[in-house]
Amino acid sequence: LTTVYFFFIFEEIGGIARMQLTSLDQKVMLAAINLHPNAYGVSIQDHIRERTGQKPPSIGSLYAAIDRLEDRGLIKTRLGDSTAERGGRAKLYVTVTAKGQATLGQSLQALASLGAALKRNTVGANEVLV
Amino acid sequence: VSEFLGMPHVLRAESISVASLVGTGTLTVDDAKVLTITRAENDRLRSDADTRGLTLRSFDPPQIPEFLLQLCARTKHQKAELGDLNEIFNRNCAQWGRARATRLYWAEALQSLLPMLLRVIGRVVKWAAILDAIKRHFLS
Repeated sequence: LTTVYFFFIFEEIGGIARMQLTSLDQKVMLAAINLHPNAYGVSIQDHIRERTGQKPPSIGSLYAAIDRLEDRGLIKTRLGDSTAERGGRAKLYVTVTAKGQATLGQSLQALASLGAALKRNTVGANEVLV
Repeated sequence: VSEFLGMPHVLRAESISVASLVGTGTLTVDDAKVLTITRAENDRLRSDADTRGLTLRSFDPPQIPEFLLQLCARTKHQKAELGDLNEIFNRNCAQWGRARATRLYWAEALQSLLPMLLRVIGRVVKWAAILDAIKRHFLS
């Protein structure tokens, strides 16, 4: 009975996690929108590196995010061309769906509202200092 | 051109007209002046060569990390994932040389293996819990 109980607890945790967009999910979706229609693993990784100036996620993490987002219907994937330098393997192009754009918009808006609160506090702190 | 791009160390393209290199298809490399090529120039050379229908020499990535990735990567996107790593490896070969590209491939593969392993462990734990519950319910 305990095992079953723990199984359902893990399912609940998974359910909560599946409802939210992680920071990596947001980055992948934003990169896919910016690079459309040429967004695939390497170009997404390069784009995140160039725009954020931070260490980009590994290809494995990137594909884990792509997997997750695709399962939720937030992105669509299609196979593209393959080249010799890729060992004859095809590229996996990523496109953000309408549902994905709406979810991303909500997620970024929530972050922006939190950011606005921070800005207000900073202004308040400056006023005190002056 | 294929020799030029396939070499782990090549002349710095800043001092060479890239267009003329691709046009003639020949290049003399002075061993005393072996330098590295920048990533942007490498990409430009490759796309130039692609449009001219030239076949470029590509290196094979190290086999052990590739095998490990093949074992753990999800079947649906496995080929694309390995293809991306292969592309990065070839780009690093031109930029940094094969030895460093191999080290970077290992690093990238190990970083990529971690989330995959966590996913596999998660699935195993989930199914073990289900089977355990079934066993307890029906066999005890």
